[in-house]
Amino acid sequence: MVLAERTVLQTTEPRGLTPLAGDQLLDVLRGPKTSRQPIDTGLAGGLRAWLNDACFEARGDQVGTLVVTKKMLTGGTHVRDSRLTYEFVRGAIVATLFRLFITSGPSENPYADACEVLFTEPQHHATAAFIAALNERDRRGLEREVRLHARNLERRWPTLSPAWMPRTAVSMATTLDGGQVHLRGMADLVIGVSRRDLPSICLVSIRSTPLHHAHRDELRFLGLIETLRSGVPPFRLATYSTLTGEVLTEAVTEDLLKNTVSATISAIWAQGAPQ
Amino acid sequence: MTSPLRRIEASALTKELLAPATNVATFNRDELRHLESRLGTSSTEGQGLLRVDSWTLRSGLGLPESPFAWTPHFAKRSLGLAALRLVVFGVAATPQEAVAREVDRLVRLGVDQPPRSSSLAAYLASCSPALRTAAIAHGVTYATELFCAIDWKAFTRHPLIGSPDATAVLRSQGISLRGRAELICDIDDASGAQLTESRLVVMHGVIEDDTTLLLGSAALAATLASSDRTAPARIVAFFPTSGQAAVLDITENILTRTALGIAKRVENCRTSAAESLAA
Repeated sequence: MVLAERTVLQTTEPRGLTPLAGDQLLDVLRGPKTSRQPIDTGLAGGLRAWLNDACFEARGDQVGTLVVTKKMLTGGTHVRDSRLTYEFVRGAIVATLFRLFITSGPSENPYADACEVLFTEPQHHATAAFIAALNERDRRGLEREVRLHARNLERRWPTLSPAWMPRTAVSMATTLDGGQVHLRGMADLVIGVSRRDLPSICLVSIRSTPLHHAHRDELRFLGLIETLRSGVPPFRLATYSTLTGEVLTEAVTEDLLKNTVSATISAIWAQGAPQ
Repeated sequence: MTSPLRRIEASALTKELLAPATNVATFNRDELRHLESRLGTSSTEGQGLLRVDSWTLRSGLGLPESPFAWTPHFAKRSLGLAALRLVVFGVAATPQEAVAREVDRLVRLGVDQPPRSSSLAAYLASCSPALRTAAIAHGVTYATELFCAIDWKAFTRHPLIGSPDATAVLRSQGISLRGRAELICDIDDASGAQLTESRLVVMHGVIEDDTTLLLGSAALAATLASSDRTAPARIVAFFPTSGQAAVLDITENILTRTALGIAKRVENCRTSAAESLAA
């Protein structure tokens, strides 16, 4: 029995986004205070039960761990397909740059700084090798691009109050089906202090490309993981383009989470044999 | 056999840490020696001690491929815990401010250290500003997650935050057993008569099959290293990545099972090392 219809996520570009900066950007990250409603304490448990049932149906008696990531919900990119692309590497450098920027502000040598940090991270050895193998022209092109993203951040990104407890590169995971299925992801930035009674954190994802709907869907997946791991949904999701200054924000609703559960179930069905 | 690991909601971490102990395992000298003997014996005299802790147990007790070197990622726990102390004791207002203060302090300390020192202070003093910033970022994330997970107002006695690992050097077994704890809390037993402790251990990832052994090893190290031969009442585990939490109540039986489990892993490790040497 299939518990969910195959959910096809939109991939068209969102319309009507304008670049935001400073206080305007801060306002959309924060959202209206009135939008924060007390949580339904049974919501996370219900979503988990739904996912567990679906995992049981989809995987039968298969053994082995299936890891579900955000990419598996959107373009059908299989988790085993780990080829690096120029865009991926640029994204990794810009994400690192963003982390440094949030922590200590602008850098004089954004490309060199971000690469130096990236090269120390074990999960980025392949990225480091990719950069090392670039010819001089491509490397200079990449450096120019990264400088542009750094300038954009410097020009547009607002100062966050330390009282909002901003933290970067936050790993998130949850297990389903008795530990047989792992949902994993990483938020580039988390703002706000988790509370048990009220959604109070905002998850931010950074993109080095113009925004499209797949980005929003990927962040919704992180919102689902956060809901399952903490029992409380985030109050807001924000995807920010360091290239264009556009930001896609949305409040996290029960419907949004249910749709994301459906998409996650579809991804689990689509994976076939466990790894 | 049912697992002695009790899963709890992360919101119950503080309550579990501070709950009175229902069982306090104490040992006389003979009993402690007997417990040590469960860890096996080593025929590798003259060789270095095998380091056994939750990290090496999880990674198969093999020798690391390269010698340890600090990176921003490795600095996160030290910086995060130091920062947490500053926030909890009111010296700094936020983890961000606290980590920055701690890094400044270590950099000042590190500039006077010899260039070949392997300390975190020497690393932070000599590394580039970008790597230092990355270390701060890692520390802030670590400290914030732990700060938000605990209800600090519930403590009537200050917990120890980030004290050194409990270390038991067991020469007959050829191992150095280390037990890590991010928080150590003094608690009473149910009658209020005996002071004992609970320990919070921060774990990576999600609860796995070997979590009981890893938490048991932290308790065993604490027991063997304890001056009064008393075991911690419980180990409370928190997994920030997954939001999972679990409790292992420490009994004589748990410690014995842990010792036997470690002995088995150590033996497997030594056997495969001997085989690869022979090959």
